[in-house]
Amino acid sequence: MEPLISPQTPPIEAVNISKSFFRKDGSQVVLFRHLSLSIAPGEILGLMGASGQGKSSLGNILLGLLSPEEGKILWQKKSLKGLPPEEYRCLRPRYQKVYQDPSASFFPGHTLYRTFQDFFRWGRRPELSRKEEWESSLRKGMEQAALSEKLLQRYPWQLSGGELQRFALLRALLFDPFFLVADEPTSRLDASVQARVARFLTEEARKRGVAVLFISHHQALLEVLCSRILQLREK
Amino acid sequence: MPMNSERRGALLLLASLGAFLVLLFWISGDPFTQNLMERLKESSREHLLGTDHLGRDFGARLARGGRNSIFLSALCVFASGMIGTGLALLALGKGKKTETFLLFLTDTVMAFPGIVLALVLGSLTGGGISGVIIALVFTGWPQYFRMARSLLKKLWETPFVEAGRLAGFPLPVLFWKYVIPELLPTLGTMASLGWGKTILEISSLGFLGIGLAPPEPELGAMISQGLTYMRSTPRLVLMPGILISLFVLALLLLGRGGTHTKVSKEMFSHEDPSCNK
Amino acid sequence: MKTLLAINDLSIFDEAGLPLVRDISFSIVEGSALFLVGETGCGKTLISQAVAGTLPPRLTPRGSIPFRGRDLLKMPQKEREALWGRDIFLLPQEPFSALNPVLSVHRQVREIFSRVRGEKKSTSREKTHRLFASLGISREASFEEPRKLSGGMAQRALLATALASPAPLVLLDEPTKGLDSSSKESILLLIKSLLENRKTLLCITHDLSIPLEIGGDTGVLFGGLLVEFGKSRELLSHPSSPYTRGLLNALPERGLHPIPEELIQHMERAWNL
Repeated sequence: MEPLISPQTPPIEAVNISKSFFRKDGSQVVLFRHLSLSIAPGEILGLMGASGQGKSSLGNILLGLLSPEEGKILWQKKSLKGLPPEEYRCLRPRYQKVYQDPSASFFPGHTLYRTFQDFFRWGRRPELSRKEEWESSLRKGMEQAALSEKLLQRYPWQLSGGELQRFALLRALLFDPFFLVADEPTSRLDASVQARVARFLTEEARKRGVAVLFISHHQALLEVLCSRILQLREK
Repeated sequence: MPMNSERRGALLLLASLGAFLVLLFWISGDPFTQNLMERLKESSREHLLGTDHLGRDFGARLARGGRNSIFLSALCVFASGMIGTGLALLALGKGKKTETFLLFLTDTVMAFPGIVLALVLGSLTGGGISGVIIALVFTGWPQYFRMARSLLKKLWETPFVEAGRLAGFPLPVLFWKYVIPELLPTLGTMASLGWGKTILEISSLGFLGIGLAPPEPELGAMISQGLTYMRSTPRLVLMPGILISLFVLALLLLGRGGTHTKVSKEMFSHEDPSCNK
Repeated sequence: MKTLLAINDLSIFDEAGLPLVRDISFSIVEGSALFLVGETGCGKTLISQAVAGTLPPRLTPRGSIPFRGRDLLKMPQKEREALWGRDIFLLPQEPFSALNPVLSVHRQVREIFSRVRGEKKSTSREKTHRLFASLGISREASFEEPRKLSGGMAQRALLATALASPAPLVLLDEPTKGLDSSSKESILLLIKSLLENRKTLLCITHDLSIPLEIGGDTGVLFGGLLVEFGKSRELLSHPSSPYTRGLLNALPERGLHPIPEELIQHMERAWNL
């Protein structure tokens, strides 16, 4: 079931959301209050703020992994809260994430190939579940990411951080996502690798019309990559 | 299974004990036939390890008693582990209310000491083995629940598991592929140690007369029965005792070896792949 | 301008005899900072381990590392370990892993004064209080265990241990890896404080902004070789090696340009890697 998307439909919107959490001593920390945002397809929105200020939480709320205390999240202009299960299942894989720690992004006991195989078998992308189709899709992506074939037969601990991040990105992109949260995807990488991975991410996102929330603590990085930057500040 | 010298030793010991028991099974007679003319006889052609106080083949009784101990304790541990892990998965998947309820349940059950409960249940149900098993499983599952739950909580936040959720993996598949393999080493180690402990518990209860009903042999009960003849025929007490001790030792080593290898695996799994350069 | 530590023709080989680090030579002047920069796998960690005495036993070093009149590489392992805390102070990446979790930070610093420096208990206590005060750590806070302190406080407590220690040489291992900008600021302050207190620093990092900010000397490593060496500010504003230029251009502040594959291949061919 393919939802109708007009080029104008923002794939992701937040309307008046608030989130806080309670510390061990009972005091409440407000992460954000009455926050609204929307990201257009192919747009890279930067999210900045020091550690522990709710950047990851905002990403998780937008992805439906966490509930806001107030306000609502809209996927394709539909409220996430009351979404019927069938529609949710359809949309779920189109809202993806790339993580800060590349070595934790893949199950350590499986080769990269096996992981991709499982993701296509069980992830919801029916048109790609035939082996020939997802394999060719994957190979094309690997070519663009300058990842060699033999890496597929390796285990995660045998690959470098930069290689793993590019694979993680490919895994997310192969679901043809509407929205991608990049949660500090380059902060554990060396400088030149960071440049490579960050550029690859943003170029692919623009090409494919993916809305991206790029979370980072590095202002200069966001200034180069993003069209807009949202900053979370402590009240 | 990750190996180290402790585990090798443990497995060797277990294998020897197993072989010993199998051998006994083969060469010994019937553990139940009584022959009051042949009471407390020493080692002979007919009865390799002699007879007990009722003239039964002692070797056969040892073999069968050993088998009973191993299987019964394995059953208890397996059941506890399954229930504990299953409930932990349930707590994770079904949301806050279920979780709170299960936590409350766990805390309540943990207040019961296993052997005491077994004694109580035993006396209520006429001292049979079913009471013992129920009591041991009932008091055994909470530790597996707690361990599984703490591992699960940590695992659930891990990127590769979350990535599976985002991709739309059905929960059972996610559990089966990514969660359970990560739980197994730790829970397996717990089970190993628990197995030894349960053998001791069953033997202790058997010593007190609660558990398998005679004439079914049980190592603890055999020790208790043999005490009267300790002076003349010490093997009636010593051999079951040694058998229990060796089993528990082997299982303990197997479990301990698990801890060591897990730590080293953790250490080396985070080694930078280009650390060589 | 005394040299505190020198590295002379240091090479490190793996079990198969392949060189992981080749013919590295440089020296560190007392009271100055030296930065070894490069990407993962360039050998900077190995060089630091060779100095610290924590090189994995399967690797073989060759060359010499004169330090305070002795060649570190010729010393037996036990003697090298005796240097830790007294002559060489190791600061690992995480402040919390360097501090003893069960002792109050006051106690940890006081014991450095009393046990390592051999001062009297009363003098040690006084000096500890003064040191913490100068770093802006209150008396109450100083009696806490490290985990009860905020990240910034813990870092300052760590600085206190380094300052209290008599060791003239401080080794820093990737001090800003994964840190956000404000934490990075405090690391830079920490480094400056160490230098102000006449410590000598050997710092390995992949983050070029640190030597740019602090100064001192910088050595750029690639594939186990020293590609360039010189005064940080000069080297980084007018690099002679295209590799250094490539590293600089990869910085977001300079445009986030990935290093071209051709440059890497050219480097590998030129240096026979």
